[in-house]
Amino acid sequence: MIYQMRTKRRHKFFSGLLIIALLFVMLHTFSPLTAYGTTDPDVTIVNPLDGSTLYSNSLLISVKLTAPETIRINVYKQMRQGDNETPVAVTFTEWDKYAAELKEIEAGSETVTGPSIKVLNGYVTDTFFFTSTGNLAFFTKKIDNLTVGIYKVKIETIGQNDQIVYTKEHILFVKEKTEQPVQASVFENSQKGTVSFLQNLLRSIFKK
Amino acid sequence: MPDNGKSRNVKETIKSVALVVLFLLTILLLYVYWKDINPKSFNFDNLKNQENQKAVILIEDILYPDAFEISYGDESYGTAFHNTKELWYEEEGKADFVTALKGFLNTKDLFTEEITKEQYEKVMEQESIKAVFDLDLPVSFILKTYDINIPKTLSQQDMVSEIGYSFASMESLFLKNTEQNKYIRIVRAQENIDDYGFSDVYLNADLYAESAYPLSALLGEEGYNTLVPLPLRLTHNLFTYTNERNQGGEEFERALAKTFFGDIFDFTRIIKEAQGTVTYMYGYGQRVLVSESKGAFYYTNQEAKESISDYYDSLDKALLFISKHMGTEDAQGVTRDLKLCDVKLQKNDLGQRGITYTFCLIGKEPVKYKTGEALSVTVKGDKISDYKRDFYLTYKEQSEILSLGDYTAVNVLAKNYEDMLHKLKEEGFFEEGEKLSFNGLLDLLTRITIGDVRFDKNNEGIGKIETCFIFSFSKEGERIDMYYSIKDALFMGYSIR
Repeated sequence: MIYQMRTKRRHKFFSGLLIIALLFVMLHTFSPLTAYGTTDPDVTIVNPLDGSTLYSNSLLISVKLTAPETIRINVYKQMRQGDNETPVAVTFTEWDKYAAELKEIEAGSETVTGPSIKVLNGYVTDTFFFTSTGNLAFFTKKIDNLTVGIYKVKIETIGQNDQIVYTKEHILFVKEKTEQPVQASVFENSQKGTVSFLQNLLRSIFKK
Repeated sequence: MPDNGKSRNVKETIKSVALVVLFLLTILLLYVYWKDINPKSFNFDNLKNQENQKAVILIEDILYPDAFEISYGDESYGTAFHNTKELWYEEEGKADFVTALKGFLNTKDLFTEEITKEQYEKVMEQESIKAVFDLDLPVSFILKTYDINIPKTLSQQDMVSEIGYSFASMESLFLKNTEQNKYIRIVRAQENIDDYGFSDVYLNADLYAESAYPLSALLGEEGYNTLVPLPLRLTHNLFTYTNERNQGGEEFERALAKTFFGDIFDFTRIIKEAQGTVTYMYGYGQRVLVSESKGAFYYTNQEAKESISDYYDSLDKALLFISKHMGTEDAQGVTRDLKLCDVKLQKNDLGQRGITYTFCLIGKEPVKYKTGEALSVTVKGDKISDYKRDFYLTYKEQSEILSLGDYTAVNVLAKNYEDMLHKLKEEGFFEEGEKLSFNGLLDLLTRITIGDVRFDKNNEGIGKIETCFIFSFSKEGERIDMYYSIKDALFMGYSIR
């Protein structure tokens, strides 16, 4: 109930901001699981965790750096070519199939020769750059107004001459809040509550 | 003959009236002379307010939380540092926290149980709202202020720094005592689901809330639930302030002094020191007012003896005392708003005590002092033993909106943690030989806020107020606040509370 009321307000408030310009680059991503050689030991994507699901329209990105380095941060929505060449968001079912196909290809499958869809990176925000000068620094950014879909957070370590030295990617699934699994009640089946009730009853009798 | 008798009576009446008028006039002129009142500025309203008493400040005017924290239930949070007064209590029947609290506690079917920290954190992780105080206050004191029945199952001594309501357990109200690390759940027996108005407060608080995330989500370290504000933009204030003596001069000082000594003002000794400090002393120092050269005023009354003081009644006395001594009207004639910022119980070996109440002045928000306080009153039994007043008056104000760049609170922490550790060690927050680590620092970190801080005055009694990150560390009742620039993450000072 609260969520719906709040969402309504937010939607109203951000109604003018809801048009996200998805600029498409025809960067062919063969796989979110593609290995990019060794990973940067001094860069850790703290948030979001790879493969995690978010039941919210805002995303927190937190990257920990343990050495003086410059990183480039991009957030992409995973898209595919639609029927009339218009890019459309990859659905969860399509993504599952796509990920399975990539696994099979990687395992040397003879039946699956290529993925059934071509995944494109749709920009969600501007590109961010962050430079740390000490041995501990954090890049933190909140990205608002995300819609349901699959997102990729890509962190690239920039070396000398602006070369990309390392790349790290985390995949994130954004779902409707209504789909969030109901959490178990913290105080359900609490025997302690009954005992405490009796204790309190006795206390209140003696207080009188 | 009858005519003569009649005219004589009229004459006698006129004489009597004239005598009465002359007598009253003599009293009035004596009063004007005695009180040293300028006849030009004299009016009869002065007679009514002869004690220079201002409107009495009520406890509900100065008691409200420092922040409201909201959990959206999706691992994102919000903190509202502004408008906390109206979110807390506006008036009877409004959609505020106190009204919801009253609705919840308005039954005899309540029971309480102590819960674990983990249970408290888990239930508050889900959609919830909590009022956060910067200090522990007795629950009974808060409830008494708003005429809310104190649940019989709750101890009078139970202290609270957070009052929370979670929509995941709508039959419960949660209390947190930070100092004792104690968590209480008050359960209401109810058949129908009702939120008692907490959902309205939640929605209102959301309007003022800025984004925030737990430290653990930002650092990747488990178990650190302190919320870190992560606003898109923030306002950087830089004000220059002066003091009341600079502004109001001797006239203001005398006017304030007269409120303390009243009829015996003419019997007080006035000692002027070369440095500019003026001391007003009655008797052999039983009652002393010091007007310090940099503009602070200190009053002490040796006649007040330490004795048991009630939390609520003592605050009432403190507020009445403030009202009688110029209230919160400053040297510019502006009535300032106050907020209760700290309470310290003073105990001696005999168990007797006094209570010191410290108040912050509200600018656009409460302004913390790096050193000292805006106003503090110590109550011992029925009497006030100490009063300190050090108001700031801003005269040059600069404000700019900054977008939160690289210097987020967590990055300020990462950049400065080694210096923070050393300062904490210097102040005894670490044992000798104890290993200093980033995690050790996080263990002591209790709050991160963004707020205006009044830094110390120079010799002319002038200083600056600036917005900064405030990192609060606590250990065994001791607290240290460290200030860092929101512009360049540089260290700006620290206070021990």
